[in-house]
Amino acid sequence: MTAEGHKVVALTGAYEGAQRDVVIDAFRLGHAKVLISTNVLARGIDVSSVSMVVNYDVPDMQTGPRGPSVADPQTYLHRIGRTGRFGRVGVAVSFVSSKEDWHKLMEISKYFGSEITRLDTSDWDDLEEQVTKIIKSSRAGSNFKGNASTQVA
Amino acid sequence: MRNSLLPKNIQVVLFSATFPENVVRYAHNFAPEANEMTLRHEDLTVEGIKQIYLDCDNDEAKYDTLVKFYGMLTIGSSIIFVKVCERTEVP
Repeated sequence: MTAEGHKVVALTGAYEGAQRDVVIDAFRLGHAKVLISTNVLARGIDVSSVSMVVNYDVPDMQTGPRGPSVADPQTYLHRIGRTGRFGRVGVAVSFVSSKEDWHKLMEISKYFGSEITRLDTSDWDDLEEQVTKIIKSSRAGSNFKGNASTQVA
Repeated sequence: MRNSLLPKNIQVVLFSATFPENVVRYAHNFAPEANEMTLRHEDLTVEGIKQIYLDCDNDEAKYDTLVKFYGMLTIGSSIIFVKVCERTEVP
């Protein structure tokens, strides 16, 4: 990502308090535009300018030590709730790379009764147009209605 | 723990947007006879967040998709969530 010209910082559970604060401050102040993180951080980050959240992996959890992994709607919600803070608009993008991923994501969609739309990646020009349209329409949807949206703590 | 160490007259208040089943059971035990305010799952997601997904051929292809996707858009700040620690490494 850095090689592609993005200003990236990363955060894992391995970071101690002070180190963690430095990384979060860099992100909060906009010195770094992209924050890469594990689940540890899904909760509690409150940076109002976050306009997109990427689920590089579909959130799942292990059922028991040797049990199958299943969808984790709670983690999904906390992750996507890092964007769209205080009535702002946000986009949540999930990457699906297997049938299992897809099943888990659909499980999450069902759990919340919310639509997660598939966008076609075979034509990137078309994709760009669609994403731009989505950002614009959701912007109109949330900003002009002035409704108090649910805040995920 | 609560019964033995804490004063009897304290008020216990628990907040979360998401309580999994086991936490709900624990909460009933920890704060018995508490007043509860809950939302249905369906009311939890935020309207202002548009949720989409992209198909990737396989796990390795995700990175190309990520780079392409970021190359396509001018976005403000964003967070990429990954499952395992090694993946957070900034190359």
